[in-house]
Amino acid sequence: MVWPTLPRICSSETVWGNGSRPRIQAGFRKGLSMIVRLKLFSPLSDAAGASELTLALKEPATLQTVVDTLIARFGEQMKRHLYDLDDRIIPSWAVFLNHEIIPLNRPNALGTEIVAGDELSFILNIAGG
Amino acid sequence: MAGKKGSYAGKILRVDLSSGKVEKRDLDLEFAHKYIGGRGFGSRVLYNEVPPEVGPLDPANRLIFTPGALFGTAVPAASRTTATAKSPATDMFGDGHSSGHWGSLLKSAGYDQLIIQGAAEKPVYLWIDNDKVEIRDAKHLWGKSNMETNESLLETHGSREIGTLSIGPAGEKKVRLACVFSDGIMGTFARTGIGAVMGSKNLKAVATRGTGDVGIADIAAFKKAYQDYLQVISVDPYVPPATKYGTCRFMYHRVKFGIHGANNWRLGDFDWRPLDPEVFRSDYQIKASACPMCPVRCRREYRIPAGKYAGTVTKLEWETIARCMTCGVNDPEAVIYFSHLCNQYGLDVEGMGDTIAFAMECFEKGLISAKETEGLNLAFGNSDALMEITRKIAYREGLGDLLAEGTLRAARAIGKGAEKYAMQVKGSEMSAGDPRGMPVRAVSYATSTRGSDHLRSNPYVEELITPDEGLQHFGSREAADIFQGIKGKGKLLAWSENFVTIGDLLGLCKFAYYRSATFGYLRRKGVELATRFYNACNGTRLSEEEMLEAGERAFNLEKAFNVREGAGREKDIIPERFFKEALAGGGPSNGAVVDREKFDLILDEYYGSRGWNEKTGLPKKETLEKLGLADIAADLQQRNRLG
Amino acid sequence: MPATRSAAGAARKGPKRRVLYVSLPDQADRICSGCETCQLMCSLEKTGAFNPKKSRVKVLPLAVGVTIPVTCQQCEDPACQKACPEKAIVPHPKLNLVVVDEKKCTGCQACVGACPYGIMAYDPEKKRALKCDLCEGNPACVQYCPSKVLELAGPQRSAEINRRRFAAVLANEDTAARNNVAGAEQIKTLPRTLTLLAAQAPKAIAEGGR
Repeated sequence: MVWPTLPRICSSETVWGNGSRPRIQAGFRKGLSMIVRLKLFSPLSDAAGASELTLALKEPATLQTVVDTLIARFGEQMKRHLYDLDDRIIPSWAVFLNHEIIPLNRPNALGTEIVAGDELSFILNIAGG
Repeated sequence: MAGKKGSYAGKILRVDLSSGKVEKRDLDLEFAHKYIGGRGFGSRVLYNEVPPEVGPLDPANRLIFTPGALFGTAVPAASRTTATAKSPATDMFGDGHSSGHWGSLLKSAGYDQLIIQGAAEKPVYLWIDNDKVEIRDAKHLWGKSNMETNESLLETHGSREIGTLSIGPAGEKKVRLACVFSDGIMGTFARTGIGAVMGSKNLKAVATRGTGDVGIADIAAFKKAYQDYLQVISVDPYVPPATKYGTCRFMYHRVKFGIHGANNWRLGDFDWRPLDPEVFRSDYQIKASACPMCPVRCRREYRIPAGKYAGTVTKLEWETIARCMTCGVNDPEAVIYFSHLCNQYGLDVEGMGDTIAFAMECFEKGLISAKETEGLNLAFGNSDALMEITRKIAYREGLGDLLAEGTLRAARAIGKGAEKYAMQVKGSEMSAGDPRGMPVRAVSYATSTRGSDHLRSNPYVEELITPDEGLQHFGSREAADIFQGIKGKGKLLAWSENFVTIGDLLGLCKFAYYRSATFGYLRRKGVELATRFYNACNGTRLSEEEMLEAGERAFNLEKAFNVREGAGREKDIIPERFFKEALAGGGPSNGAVVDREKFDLILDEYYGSRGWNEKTGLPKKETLEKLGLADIAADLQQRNRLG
Repeated sequence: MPATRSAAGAARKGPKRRVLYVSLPDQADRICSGCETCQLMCSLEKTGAFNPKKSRVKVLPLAVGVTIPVTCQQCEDPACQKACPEKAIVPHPKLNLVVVDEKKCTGCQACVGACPYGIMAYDPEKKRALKCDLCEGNPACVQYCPSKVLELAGPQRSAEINRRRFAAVLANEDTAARNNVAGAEQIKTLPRTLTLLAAQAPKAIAEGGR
């Protein structure tokens, strides 16, 4: 499956922050909805009943917003997969954000901004074999 | 009931195939509580009894089978047995671990370990029926596949309630890639050529019937630990995909990180879609099977309903899929059939995949000609050639005779620079995924005591921890950075090796205890619950530190064995290709190499944290003494092999 | 005589229950994994040690990937009881089933040979026959099965399972089922087991749903 290239929907006042993430200045788009696409692997796909999802998020959104939305939508089972028994985000999750790897054990990983048209996939970063 | 020996059977069985002598000794409980079982017993006996003067295929080599200490109990996923011998592949320490039934039958028959020495003059098999032990003629079994051998033995002994070990034709031919199988094709002691050792002893099989109890000291503590174990796996997100797909699930990880290592470890990207875990699950899987006592249920048997290989039914796990990609093959039915051939001939799929890929690259580069392949088009992706060369290797025919020697020896024989295509460490072929771009993973393939092995040196802890945990447990936040971290990685690797060794002492499956989504769950399963189970079964009071130390002890034993054989830091190295050639073919890890400087820094830290000489990697006297291995320190000192 | 005793027993001790292997055609993922946990937890519960020979539930590997747990069917008119020359197989004081009286049992194994399911076990050390007694009503095998395919089934649940299995037998001959290729494989496997049982012990099966 090849992800189609979606146009970046940005305000006219985008600012490129550290690294390659464009940062959208708040104000113009705050509170409006945007669409992101998610690819999930087991066990998240089992909890969601699907391996591909479309989420509508309110701007400004971060990875934390995506996680919260998944849990709000799919309940306790989804929560257990993402958070451990001490309510910490499970560090071995890696989020692929448009082919950039964001391991969730990195500090502030959940603060990564999400913009409209982003494509994310969650995978357990465990080589295992 | 259990008495002082708890879940131990209480005896060591020794059989000398040269003299026919059978000897039984009582198990020394102090020895048992120090070395625990499984790999711990095996490594100790190997050190004691196989000095450097003994070659791997000499009658004096030992072939040792030791069930994990908890095998035979209902401890979840305690179903593994260790086979130990000097390896015909590495010429130093060798072992394999297998699932199956046989190990628990040995314990029910009354033995914690089977030590085989000498060699028979003609093919024989060993029949153990509780206290009756006989060496029997195996003429009617010689040449048979593993399944046929198992079936024949079940029929001969009139019961399906016996366990067997066997070699196939490859072990009989002393192929250095041969392995020993348990209960037909139920499990395999795959790596390091143990099957060739068994073949060199003219031992075709071991059949065992056991009717005795395996005891337990504290049933209430056992049941509590059981519930706690079930609770952890019910919340650990590592487990559901294991149950859903079996081990073929690792494909998704390889894809995401671009570390297939296809075409003899050159390409990070590959046309993997025909091998999608969903394809195996929906089109070929029979059901979610389980090894004895395991609630995770991640083993798989597959059948091919139609087409070229119709009717094939066999067991298959991830490494077979990985090594087929190493040969450029991506047809799932060819992968299943290749597994079937290796299972029946008794061949290690890791060794086979890498050796055949090596041959394919030599063919591609003109180092092996069509004349030498007898017209076989040994090209990457040619699955027909894969099957044919597999058969040739099993029977040592034509080019197969050369390749049966394993990648390293074959490369040396071919010469002309072929050694740079030999993907092996210490003589044992590469396993798991490509290490380029992941520093400590590269080092881990080098430090394993039995050649390249992701199971022995298991640095996946770096995937689970936060930087704070890295600082707390391994002295640096960098330990949590898979791609860039250096500091703390050596300590992490040493800890991981000791940790995962516990599983091999107790007979616990790594997927059930030594893999997890969080470090907390991992320690809870692999250290805390493992120790609680051991104590509940045996009435002992080992602390978690003592259990980790038992793991460290076995690892040091193996290192000492290798050091005594003359191996030093120069052997703790991975193929040149990983340092010199960038991973190619596109994909997320495209362009990555292993940085030699980082490699050496991590290795220095690793040696230091192990209490070995930081430059040479040789164990220090005080380290061995601290582990209760003073006699080994003295032996190495006398040979001038201390650090 | 036995029938009367049984009926009176049923009234006093509640309905007949048995541990059943529940793997139905429409639940492909709910299937015995072959882990054999049931065997060792049974022996642990009943003897305090691990020994599959002393287990009252036996898992049979019939082919690669095919493992079937066989359990005591707690027959209404038990062949084991009828075969015993010592009258050592007697009604349980509380539960609606029979058990081995170890004091009377001489270890002759007549019951072992007579059971149509082959599920009477034998302790080679004590030389006594071993029979499932449902662990006083909370069977260890049911408790510990990781795949949850063993159920302590009363009459209603037994009837439901038997009905669905028999329907699967009929479905084999049904045109709609034949056309449903995806379901056909699953439907095929189970009924053969049922047919085998029916051939060996029609009486036990007929009384199974009561």
